Amino acid sequence: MESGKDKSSNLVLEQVEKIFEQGKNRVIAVDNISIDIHEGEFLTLLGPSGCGKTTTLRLIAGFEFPTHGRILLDGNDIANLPPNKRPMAMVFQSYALFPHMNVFENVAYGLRLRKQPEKVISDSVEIVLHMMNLAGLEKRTPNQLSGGQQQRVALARAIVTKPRVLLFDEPLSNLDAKLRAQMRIELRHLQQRMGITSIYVTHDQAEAMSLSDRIVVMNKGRIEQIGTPVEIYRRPASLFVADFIGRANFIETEVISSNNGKSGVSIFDQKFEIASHPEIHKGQSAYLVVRPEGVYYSPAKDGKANGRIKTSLYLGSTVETEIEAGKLNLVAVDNDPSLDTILVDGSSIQITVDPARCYLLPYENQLPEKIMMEKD
Amino acid sequence: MKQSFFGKQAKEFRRIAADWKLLAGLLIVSLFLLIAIIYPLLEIFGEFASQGIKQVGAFLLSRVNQTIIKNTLVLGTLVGLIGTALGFLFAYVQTRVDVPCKKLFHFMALLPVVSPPFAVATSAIVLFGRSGILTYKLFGFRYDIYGLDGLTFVLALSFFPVAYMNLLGMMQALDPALDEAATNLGASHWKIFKTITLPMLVPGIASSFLLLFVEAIADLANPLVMGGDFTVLASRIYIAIIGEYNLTNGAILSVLLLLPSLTVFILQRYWGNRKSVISVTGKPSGKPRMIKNPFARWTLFALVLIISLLIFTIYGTVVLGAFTNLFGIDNTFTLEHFKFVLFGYGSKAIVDTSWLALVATPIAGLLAILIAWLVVRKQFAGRSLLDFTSMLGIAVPGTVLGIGYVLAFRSATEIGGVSILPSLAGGSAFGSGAIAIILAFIVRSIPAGVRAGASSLQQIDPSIEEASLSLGADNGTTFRKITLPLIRPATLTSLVYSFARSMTSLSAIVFLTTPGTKIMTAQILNEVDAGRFGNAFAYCVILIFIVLVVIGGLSRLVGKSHLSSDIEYRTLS
Amino acid sequence: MKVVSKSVFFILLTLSLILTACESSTTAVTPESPAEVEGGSEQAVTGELTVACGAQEDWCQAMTQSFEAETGIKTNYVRLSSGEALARFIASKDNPEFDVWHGGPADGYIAAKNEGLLEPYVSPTAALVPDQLKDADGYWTGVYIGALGFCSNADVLDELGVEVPTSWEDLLDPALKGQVAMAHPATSGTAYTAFWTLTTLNGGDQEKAFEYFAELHNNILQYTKSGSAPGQMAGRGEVAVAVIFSHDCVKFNEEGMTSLVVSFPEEGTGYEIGGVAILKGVKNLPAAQLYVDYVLSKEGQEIGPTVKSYQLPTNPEATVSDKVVKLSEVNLIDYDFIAAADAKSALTTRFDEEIAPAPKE
Repeated sequence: MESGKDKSSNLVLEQVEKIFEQGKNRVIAVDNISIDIHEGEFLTLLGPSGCGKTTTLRLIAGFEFPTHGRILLDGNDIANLPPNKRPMAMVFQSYALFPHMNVFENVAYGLRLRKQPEKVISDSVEIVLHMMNLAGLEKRTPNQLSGGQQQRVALARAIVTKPRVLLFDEPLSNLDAKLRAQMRIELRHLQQRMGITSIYVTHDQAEAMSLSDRIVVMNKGRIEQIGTPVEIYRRPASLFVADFIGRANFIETEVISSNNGKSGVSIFDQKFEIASHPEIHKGQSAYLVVRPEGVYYSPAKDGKANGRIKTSLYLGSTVETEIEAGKLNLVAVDNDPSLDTILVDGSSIQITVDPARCYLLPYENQLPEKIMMEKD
Repeated sequence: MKQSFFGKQAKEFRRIAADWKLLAGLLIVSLFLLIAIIYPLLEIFGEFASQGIKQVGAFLLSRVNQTIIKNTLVLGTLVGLIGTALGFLFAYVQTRVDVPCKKLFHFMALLPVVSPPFAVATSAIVLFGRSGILTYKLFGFRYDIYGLDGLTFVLALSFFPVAYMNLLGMMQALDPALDEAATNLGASHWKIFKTITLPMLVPGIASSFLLLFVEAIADLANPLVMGGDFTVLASRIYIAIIGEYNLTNGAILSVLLLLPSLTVFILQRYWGNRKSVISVTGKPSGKPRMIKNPFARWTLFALVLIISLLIFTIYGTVVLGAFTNLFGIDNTFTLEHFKFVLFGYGSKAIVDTSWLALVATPIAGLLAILIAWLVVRKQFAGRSLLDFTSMLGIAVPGTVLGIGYVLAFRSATEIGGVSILPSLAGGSAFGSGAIAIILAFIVRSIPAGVRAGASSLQQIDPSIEEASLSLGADNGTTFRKITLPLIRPATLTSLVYSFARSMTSLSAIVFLTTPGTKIMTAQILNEVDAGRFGNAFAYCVILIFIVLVVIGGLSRLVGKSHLSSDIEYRTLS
Repeated sequence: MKVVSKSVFFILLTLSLILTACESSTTAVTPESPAEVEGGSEQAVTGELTVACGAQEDWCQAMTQSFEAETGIKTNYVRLSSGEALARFIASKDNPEFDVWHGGPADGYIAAKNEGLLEPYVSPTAALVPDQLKDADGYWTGVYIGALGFCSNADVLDELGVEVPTSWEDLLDPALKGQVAMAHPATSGTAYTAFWTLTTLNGGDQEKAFEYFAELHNNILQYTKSGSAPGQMAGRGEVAVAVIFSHDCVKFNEEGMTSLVVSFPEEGTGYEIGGVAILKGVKNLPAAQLYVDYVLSKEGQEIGPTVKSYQLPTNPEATVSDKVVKLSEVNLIDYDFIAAADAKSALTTRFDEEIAPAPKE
């Protein structure tokens, strides 16, 4: 799914493929992907390890060259251009600061290459250091900086050269959780202020959701879905996306009726109209994707129970419940619990769902369960 | 659409060509290796195939020749075993045993690297020979040091530094956390050693053994001086050329020597390059458990002390012998030997050898770094071929290389009747044969430089170089501004080693000396052979002195980054 | 910046080296003083000379240095054993490295003549040298005579309980196992002389000679490259007996190895005629000729004893030191130099293949 086609695209990946051959092994790292990247947007490549997101980033950067396909910048194919000739700058996971240079020299490096006059260099560097809260640290060497400071120097070094595109290779994953959260916000503000097109790689879906204008969800070298965080969460294009982003319950069901993107199903003996995937039609098997916050239950009344509580965890601001309903195992999350809704394990309950938090996806043979372990 | 193999290679080369500096580098390196190693080797095989092959059968059937081959292999094996054991002992004591005088032991273990091949042998004869100061004068028995026992002793002592450095590096990289974990689970020191330390060091031990084997079978100097009746292939080659100028015989013997040498060398590369289990976790944390058991400690200490004393005695003899008339027989102090060496005939050799080594060293250093960088950082067809060829410099025994050079460069090289290279070896060649000698020096020094450079490069996070590219620098600038400063310690090591190696090499250049270019080691051979040990010792002293001076000078030139240790730490993470 | 200065540094080095090397092989050097020359050339002879020298190092040094002092011609030498020298001459046939060959036994010179490596020159002074001590066609001239003998360490012999050897048979004594030293006939003229001596003593039967040396091999400790080195080994006590020319033995004794004694085999022993010759393709013929003249002159012939070299001079006008061996006291065989030279190559190769590397019994 794509949206916002009216925005101009300066960077386009056209059917890009990358195959690695090591002796007898042939690995298709990137399998025919196409992306139109909008000017000034913050685009995240998200997926589990091995999905091809880093390779894609490196193809854009020029550290790898595509086996097939084109990479267009302002209409020109740069696929075979060496990295130093592309107007892009990359921020690395390991920061990759030059250990034998101090902070000033690190940041000035790119400007020196462009043979800018000394005064211009020193001014630009100072401005950027100030922007990144690094003023006063010019003479320090990388080993004298904290992780967060190093990351900011890496960022400063990249943006001072005013690149057309900024590339980020999981830059925050070496930081501790609190610092990561903080840096995330700073990064977002910075990017919005500067308006540089940014491509960000991460496996952390919370990070992706909080930073991005759009997210490219990748799996096994292919694109599963491109969309805004809302689109991805509310209208996942596949079971993989539904499972990878946030948590999801999958309930097998039959499509009773279908009309204009809305379909009728029967769940827990109730009829609902659910927003559905374009390929859904009447009479088909489908999966109902229900977010945990869309699963509701109440104590069984008049002996009308369709489920049972397995475990209920009181976490203060939320209550998480594992529910057994016949052969189904569901997870429910209550974000606004009142004390009387906390039930004892084993209690019989009445389960229902909120159709607004559901989505209908075509049936697939395999539920991507192993993916569950790889998300954050 | 499938891309053809050639299509892909073409694309690859187009990319390399896009960066012309990279292409130039690749071309220079390839051309050099082609001329300096491949061409001479081809000449040997050519001679062997055209003339020698008829005689090979008879050659191998002769019992005498079979004995020579057997001798060579036996010598190599013994030296490999003992040398590795010595290196292991020293490295273990250095890293795992709590004893004093470690710096001293370290110095002693490295001393043989700096000195010429004859120093130890000649000294050993004076000390332990039939009229040896220690064996005869002190203890009254006449020990026949000539032959296999003497050779093994001398070669093991001369080459064990190689094993030492190899194993020291590995032991230092062993993660002490493993020892701690094992201790936690109840293992004793001995158990830890047997089940954890030793198995992890097996690649290092195997690789050291094989390396020493190759060095031992290629050695010429010591079998000439104290081989006795124990003839080996190297000395046989020497007589064939020097005494008879029989290039065909020389070629046959060369091929015979090349076979075990190359085989073992390839094996060693396999062992050495195996993804060492040691470096999986990256930087080791914590301190290793030191052996504290007094019995073990002091026994090991005693062993190392004795050997260090031995080394000290041997080199002490060299110094004393240089200043006495006939050390052991007539101990009057004299400066005659030094006069002879410095002001007489000997001075030209000192100047010539030093100049040639000084010219060869930076060239070798630069080529080695270039090759290391190309092999480690760039992907292109023929990369492993480049890597392997650059290593041939030490895989091929020196005498074989020497013969190859004689065959290849004695007369001008022609292709299709057009002379593309003038005569480079021999007294009336261009530059009085200096060029051939310089080439030989470079070729022998490159492998160590490539190894050091490659390992150093592998420790640098590739992201750092990529960051430089990403910011707009091309390969050349990145190499200059980023890579080179970071591998400075390795550069220094390789330069130093190149110089020492060139100054002390004999087997490669023994066939290449001319009246115009005198080489110190050849002169020392003459002196030793003529029995003028005093002069030989004086030469050795001066040679060691020069090498030490240049090492000091090189340290200053290349510069020591005070952050070097920090850099290595950081770049590992 | 460091890389730049490094490159400049080594470029300069390379250049300077090539320049010096080129200079040393091509340019003419004008002498400081005009030559006071023997043998009568009117104009000053200039240039450089490279000598392949077959006797001991200090002898070579003395010869070349006094020649240079006398004539101003810069003279280099390389000390090479006879076989070694011959091999190098053959190797550089097309482009000779040396101008003159001086010292080392005549068999080598004859072999060189047979290979077409020599340039004939009859020095005026050569007229004084007896005919049997020079080449009939003038390809080489004798400069000294030395007698082959045994050089023994008296102390070691005492320990072994063996008498000083006085015959070739004595050397085969089992008590001398590993106690004899000799050079390798392929590289050393001295050793080859010994070999041919045994051949001659056996009536020219090479097979018998090989048998002798095969047996002697069991007593040999090590074959050295240069001919006189065994004497040093004996002097140091490494071996009991060395087979070398007697003048070398005397020299070692004088240099401090006082336990050495000279003896000669009663059956008969060989001798060497040390030669001098000009090599074909010589670059500086006038200088080479001057050198030959010089070393044959009375002055040149008397240099030997100044460095403790006591060979018998061939110029009858030269003073003979009393340390020189009295040839009349030694049983010299009738040494056929020409036959020896002819057989050299084949014999030494066979020796090298069959005897030298053979395991000891």
